[in-house]
Amino acid sequence: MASGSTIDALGQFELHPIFGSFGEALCFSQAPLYMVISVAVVLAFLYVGMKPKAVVPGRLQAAAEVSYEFVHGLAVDTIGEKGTAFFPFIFALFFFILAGNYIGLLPFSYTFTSHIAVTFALAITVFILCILTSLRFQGVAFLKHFMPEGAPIALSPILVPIEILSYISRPISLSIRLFANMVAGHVLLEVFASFTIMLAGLGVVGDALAVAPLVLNIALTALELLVGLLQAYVFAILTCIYLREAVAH
Amino acid sequence: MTDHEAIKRDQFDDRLAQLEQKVAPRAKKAKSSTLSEQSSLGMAFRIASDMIAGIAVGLGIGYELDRWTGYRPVFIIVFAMLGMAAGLRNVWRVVNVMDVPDNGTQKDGRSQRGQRIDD
Repeated sequence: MASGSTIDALGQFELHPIFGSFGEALCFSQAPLYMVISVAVVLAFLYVGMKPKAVVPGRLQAAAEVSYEFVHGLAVDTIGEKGTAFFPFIFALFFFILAGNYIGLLPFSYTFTSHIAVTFALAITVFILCILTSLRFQGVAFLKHFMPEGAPIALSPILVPIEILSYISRPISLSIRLFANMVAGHVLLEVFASFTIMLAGLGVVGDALAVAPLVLNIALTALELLVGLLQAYVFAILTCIYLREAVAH
Repeated sequence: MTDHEAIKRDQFDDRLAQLEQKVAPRAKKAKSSTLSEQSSLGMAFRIASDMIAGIAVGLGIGYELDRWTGYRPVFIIVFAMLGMAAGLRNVWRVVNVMDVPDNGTQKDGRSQRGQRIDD
């Protein structure tokens, strides 16, 4: 929040215990609260949407069906026929991140995807799942992928560490991308909102000028809606790609 | 069913096939273009974060090995370079898959690493 002439753009990401002493005892902060809320929103969307079970779907049911088919298509097209086994996981992942990104855009709410602890936990889950899937489907042959085919064996002391590092960097890359996008977007929103407040404090001229950052903020909110969807999509499709590599070969 | 009706149905099938051929490529094209438009921003972020992640992993491993073994600058130098190489390898992998002509998704759409990924 803007106090005087300073802009505290990162204060919005601080975690505080909520629900008084009860929350303090449990170390229950905004992040888990909004995780619970987004899970509830997604479940309610699917439950309420699919409740009519109409042959000709209404709007909500159509939305629920479209979201199901979209993620199903994503999983099966990318991973292949084995993708159906991973579809529930990818669906949950996609909608958890999407709901987190979108709920975070509401005023007075909190974006849990803006914490690297959260995004890294999601990414490391994907990473471990990929390793387990690789071992399940390929066995020890999975380790062969760390030596590129056709490369001279003399180069293996350099190539193998590079490939291993490249593999390890996947969850880092996944988590940094989502977290950085969310932080950057919300910092920008905060900064321009602070500009509006600061300009409005300058009198009549300031009032007129304060419209500019407000308009920018509206545009930024639209951009954030795009980024929120895009990042959830990228997270989901990269999970699919990694799983396909784990399943195939 | 009279002859007349049968002929009509044949004509209908022909027309349907013609129209489908007319419509299908366009529909396919529209789909792929929206996908690539959607993901150009995502692709930019993907490449940047892949690069950073490689270096970050290299630096992290190097730093920890240095602290553990006590050979202070050795491992961080080696692993920083390996990490950069790994970051470039990540980027190369992404770009290599991406840099495939958009037409003919089935025939031309395969890179040497396998099937093209439409993200």
